[in-house]
Amino acid sequence: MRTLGRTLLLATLVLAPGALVAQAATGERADQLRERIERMFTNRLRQDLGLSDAQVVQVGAVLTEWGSVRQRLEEEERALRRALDGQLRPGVAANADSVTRVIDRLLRNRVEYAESFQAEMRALGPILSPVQRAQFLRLRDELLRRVRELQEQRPVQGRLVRPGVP
Amino acid sequence: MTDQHLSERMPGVAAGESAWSELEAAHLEACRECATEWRVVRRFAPVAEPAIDTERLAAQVVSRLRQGGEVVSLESRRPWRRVIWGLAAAASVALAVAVWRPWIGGTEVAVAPTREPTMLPELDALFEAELEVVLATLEPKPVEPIGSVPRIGDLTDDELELLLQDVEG
Repeated sequence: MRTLGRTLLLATLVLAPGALVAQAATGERADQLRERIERMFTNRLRQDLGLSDAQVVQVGAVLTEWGSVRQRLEEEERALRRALDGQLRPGVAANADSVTRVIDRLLRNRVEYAESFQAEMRALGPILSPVQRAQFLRLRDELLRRVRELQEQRPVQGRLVRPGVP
Repeated sequence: MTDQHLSERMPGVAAGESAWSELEAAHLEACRECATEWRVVRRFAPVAEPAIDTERLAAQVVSRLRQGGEVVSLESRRPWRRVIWGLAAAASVALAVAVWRPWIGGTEVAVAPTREPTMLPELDALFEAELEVVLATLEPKPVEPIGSVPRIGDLTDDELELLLQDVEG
C-alpha cells in the first residue's frame, strides 16, 4: 500500500508538466502555419549563419531526422500519459505494476528526448563550424522558449498560468 | 523514366527556375531516395523576400508631398473609421471564440496526428493563434520608408478637430 502511495506520488510529479499541454491545432491551416514557420526559421539560419544552399539542405536533413525522433518520442509520451490517466482515475484502484512500468518508460523517454539534442548537435559537427553551431543553438533556443511561453500563458481553469507561479 | 538521380536539378526546380520533365517526374515517383531528397530540398528552398523598391517609394512620397493644396473631407473619413473599428471589434470577438477551448482536465494532452517528418516537432503542441504569434516573431520586419511621413488618416477625431481649428485659424 505504501509502495502504491509512493508510486502515485511519483506519477503526480511526472504528470505535472502535462498540465501545460493542451489539445493542439490540427488541419490544413495549422499545417500551413507550421510549414511557414519552418521555412522562415530555415531562412533565418541561412542568413544568420551564412549557409550555402548545399549546407542548408544538409542541415535540414539532420534537423528533420532528429526532429522525427523527437516527434516519435512526443507521440509516445502522449500515449503513456493517456495510459497513466487511465490508471489514476478517481475511485478506481490503480495497478501498481502498470503504473511503475509507465513511469519508468516516461522517464526513459524524457532522457532520450534530451539526448536527441546532443546527438543532433554531433551530427551537425561535420557541416557547421563551432560558431555556426552556437548561433544555431541560440536561434532555436529562442524559438523553443517562445513556444514554451505561449503554452505557459494559456488560461487554466479560468486563470492565466504564469511561468514560475503555481 | 530516367535512371539518373536528380540531386543536381533539385535546387533549380525548388527555386522555380525550371520544372521537372515528364521523365524526371516519373523518376521522382519511382525512386525513393530522390523523393526523400526532393522533400527536404523543397522544404528548405530559399523563401522569397518581398522586394521593396525604396527609391521608387521615396519618389512617390516626395511627389505626394509636393501635390499640396488637396482638400481633405473630414466627414467622409469618419464613417470609414467607424466601420474599421467595428471590423476590429468583430475580429477580436472571432479570435476570442477561435482561441477559447473548454477546460477538460488538468492532464489534457496534445492530440495532433502524425504529420510529415519535421525539424520542429515542438510546434505540434500549439494552437493556430499561437502559431501565428511564433510566425510573426520570425517574419522580417517591413522596411520603413525614409523618414516617417504622418498621414491624416492616422489621427484621432480629437486630433483632427485640433488640426482643423489650426488650419481655420
